[in-house]
Amino acid sequence: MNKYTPIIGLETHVQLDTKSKLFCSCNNESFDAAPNTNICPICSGQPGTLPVINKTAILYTVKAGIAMHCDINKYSKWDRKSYFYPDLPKGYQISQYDKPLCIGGYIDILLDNKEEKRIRLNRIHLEEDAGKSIHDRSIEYTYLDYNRCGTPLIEIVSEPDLCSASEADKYGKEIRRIVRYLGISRADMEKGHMRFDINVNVKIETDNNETKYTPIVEVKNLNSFKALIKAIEFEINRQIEDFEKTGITKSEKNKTTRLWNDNKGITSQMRTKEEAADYRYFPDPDLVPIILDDDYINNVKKDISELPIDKLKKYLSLGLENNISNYIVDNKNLADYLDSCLLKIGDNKEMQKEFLNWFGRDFFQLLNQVSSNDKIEDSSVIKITEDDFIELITLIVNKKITRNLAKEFLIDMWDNDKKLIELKQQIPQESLDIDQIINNVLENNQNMIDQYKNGNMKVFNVLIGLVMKESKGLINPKDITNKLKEILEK
Amino acid sequence: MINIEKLKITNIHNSLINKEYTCTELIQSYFDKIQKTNKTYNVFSSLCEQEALEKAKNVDEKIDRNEKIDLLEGAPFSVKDSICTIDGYTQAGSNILKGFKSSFNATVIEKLLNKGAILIGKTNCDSFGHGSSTKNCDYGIVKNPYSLDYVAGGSSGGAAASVALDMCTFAIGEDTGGSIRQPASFCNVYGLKPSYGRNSRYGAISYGSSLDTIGPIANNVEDIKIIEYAIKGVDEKDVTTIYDDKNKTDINVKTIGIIKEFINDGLDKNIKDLFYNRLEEYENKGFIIKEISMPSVKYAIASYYLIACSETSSNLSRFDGVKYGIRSNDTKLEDMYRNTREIGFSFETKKRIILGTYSLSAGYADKYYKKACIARNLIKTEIDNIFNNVDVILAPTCPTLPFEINPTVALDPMTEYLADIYTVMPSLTGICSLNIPLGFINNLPTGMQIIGNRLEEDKIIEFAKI
Amino acid sequence: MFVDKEKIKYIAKLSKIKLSNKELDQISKQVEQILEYVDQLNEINDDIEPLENISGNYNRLRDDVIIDFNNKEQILKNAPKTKDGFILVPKVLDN
Repeated sequence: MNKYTPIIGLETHVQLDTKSKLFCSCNNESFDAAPNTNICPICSGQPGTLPVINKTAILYTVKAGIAMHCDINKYSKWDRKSYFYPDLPKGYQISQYDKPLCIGGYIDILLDNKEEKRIRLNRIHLEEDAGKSIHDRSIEYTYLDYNRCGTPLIEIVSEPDLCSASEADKYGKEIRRIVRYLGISRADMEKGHMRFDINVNVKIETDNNETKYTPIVEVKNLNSFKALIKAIEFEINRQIEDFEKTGITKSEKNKTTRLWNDNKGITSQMRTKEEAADYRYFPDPDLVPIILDDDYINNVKKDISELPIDKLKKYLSLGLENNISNYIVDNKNLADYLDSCLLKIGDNKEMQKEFLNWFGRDFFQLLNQVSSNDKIEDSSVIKITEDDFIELITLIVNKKITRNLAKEFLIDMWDNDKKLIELKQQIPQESLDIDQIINNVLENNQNMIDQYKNGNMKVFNVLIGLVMKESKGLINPKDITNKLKEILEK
Repeated sequence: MINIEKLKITNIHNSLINKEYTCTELIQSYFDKIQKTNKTYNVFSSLCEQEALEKAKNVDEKIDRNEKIDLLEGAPFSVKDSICTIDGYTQAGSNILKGFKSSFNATVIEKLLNKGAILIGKTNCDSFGHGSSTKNCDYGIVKNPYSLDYVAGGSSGGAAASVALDMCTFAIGEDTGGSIRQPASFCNVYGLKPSYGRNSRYGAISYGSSLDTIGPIANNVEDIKIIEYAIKGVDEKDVTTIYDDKNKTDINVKTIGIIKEFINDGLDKNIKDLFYNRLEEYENKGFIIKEISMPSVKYAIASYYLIACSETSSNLSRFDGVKYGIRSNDTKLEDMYRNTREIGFSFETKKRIILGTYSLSAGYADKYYKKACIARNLIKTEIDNIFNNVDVILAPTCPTLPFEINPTVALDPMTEYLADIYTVMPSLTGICSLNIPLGFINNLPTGMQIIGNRLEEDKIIEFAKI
Repeated sequence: MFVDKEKIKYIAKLSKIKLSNKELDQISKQVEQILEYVDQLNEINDDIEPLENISGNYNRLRDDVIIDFNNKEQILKNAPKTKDGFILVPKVLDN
């Protein structure tokens, strides 16, 4: 039996969420814009124009590099990558070739078996996006929209450390989490903010201890996690089948590029023969190099606190469920809320435990009710202030309020916009005399005492209910049970 | 009729404020001259008569209201066809941009228009700057103002001729390897190649991006100074523009350098004589003439052509029939690309693109492009050293007289390139150089370069007044 | 310095330049001539740094501010073929 090990490398393109484009001051947000309305002479490649770099794009790229543990190149430069395509107006893309902003680095992912795996990075560089070519509006013509030309992209290149579609999926999702965390990209797949190119081949270890490799295949432009997974799985199978049929192994000359067809669920060879593309990289004479000093890099470092995977590990160790922990990490506003509350609670273990129970259960129940029209990412979706939540927990821990009443309060605050300060007035200020209330109830229900004494256990619960009603739910049922028993035994 | 012969900017300004003539009369006189002479010399590729007269009218109304007008206000100027202007066409001397209207003005042009100068029209040039004669202009050769059998030079031939023929007061040209200085020399006018980065390139259609400079052409040196001061300056739209932080107090010239390697058998004997006569005059006036050796200058042409062609091969990729200019009638994209560029580009342009692409192609880039950049460093290091010992360098502008339009023996293409020997060195090193008229030989003009260190335009302009 | 015509053909294809047989001949010869001339650059030591940044500038960056261009109509007007705001080109062969 041959042993097959897939070898996968990912190139992830992430659109940076700057206000203006990379080389010109056009609006960077084009999702709903009419075609060719966010353009200017620079991004549409008019004669005589020159590029000028957006300083926030540099900042965002360095942020990504630091978060992904890269070395930041103190000297980096810009190169022209030449090829002809209608959505590339200048006939070259401005990118970074031999001196990118970030080199090396790694991203840690959590596998299903809870083990951590480190995926090494090769580099992160900054470049401009091309426009959009629409092929299906007409038989004769391709329709071009240059709104996207010049959008800043970071390209995150991994080493071929991934071994499965599932790992690639986790890796891609971790990148998405990180860039959202850093606030450098919204990474909304549906808006095309993130795209993947994959390089896949398979290592084959035969029975007679030979090691062979299938030819490397590049599949470009996968724009959803679903497509990423399906394309990888398809390619792995196809390559194994191919190898078993033909025995062809990897060589310097047989790397090919294939296209993923989502409708058919297959990759197919590109129709034109792909000669090794000669991009004729050379330094762009219209731009000048970037020199970053230690101060700049350190300032960026200061801005970056905990990373998503660190948060995930923290929440899991605090006892929050896996699904809930991941959900919180995926929605930064929730994570910020949780972290802030935990910080305010501090070392008080009892408070922390009570709070986390409520957060992971009751709070989430309320969140689930949030309609799909409200965005979870929007912090206004959380209807309880941190201080109110913490005060509520404090009241519970100090036995000033029963959990039932606390639950009512929580729902009231969430649904009806009430503040805890109003609701607190409903808690009776004097300490309740349990003895007196129970004696009152017993006095009025003499027959039940008799029934209890005669062995009717059910009546005990009725009495508890009556005591609770009398005390307006402000006494802990457990306390009532104990006291009632005590009194009845007398 | 106003006498517009060799009118200076200050003359015009004074005449206008003294109401000796109106701006409208002035502009009309220039257009009359153009009417009479443009067909013969083929200077302009497009004219902006209506817009110009409109602007002249506004200047006259300002004067009538006794409002102050700027020094440049009302002065008519021409612009090389490869520099973007909203008015007129911007065709870069090439078929591929036939009828192209730019959506913006180049920064330098915007500055002049804001100061009230009046755009007359766009002047013919070798397409995309590829040439030193305008023989490579798809809209026809520009004839030499002094003789119809000879070229006006290139690539800014039309610009230089427009000034020499009094079709405008001054011109804006572009110089990558000599394209302002050489035609200025052929047309007997002053032409300044400024230091690289002193004037904004934004709006100039790029030829060799690390070499291109935009500069003024005029009939006298005072005008050169006025225009240069109006157009210079850092532009946020062009990150290669440099701050002019030079100490301006010392613009005195004591020592003049002559590059030994420039004086050889390639230099026309008559030009050499004129040049040395001029040197003698300077010596008699008390200047010290120093002969200096610059061994690396022998690599200048090789370095220049590799860099310029590499950069142009990339800069011209955007001319593909997709977004502007002409487009061939094809139903397949690949055919459209190739046929558009076939119809649109001249042989010389195609050749330079091929040479440039070759020089940058995989496996060859280190040998050609990178090597050329190494040579460039060597040459720059030598010139930096030389300027520690001399104040200015003097050199001929062209080793030959203006080229014949129909020579009996066709010029070897390599020979044409080699004629750039005196002008490419300042281009490679980013320093400044001013062509001044030197004299006539057989009724054809020839000029001389005053070469100064980076940002020392004031020094060379002052020296030109001597 | 022999220049392979096949290489010139490949370069022409890369740069989307069409060459007739005559032009292929002429350009190959002229390029050969030029390359022979530039061969003298090989005398220079590779130890010297290539000069690639003649302006000497660094870090010329722009603030992240939106400025709307005021003459987009002319940009679209310049396109040889447009429809519904798109620029049209003959179909790319493989999608």
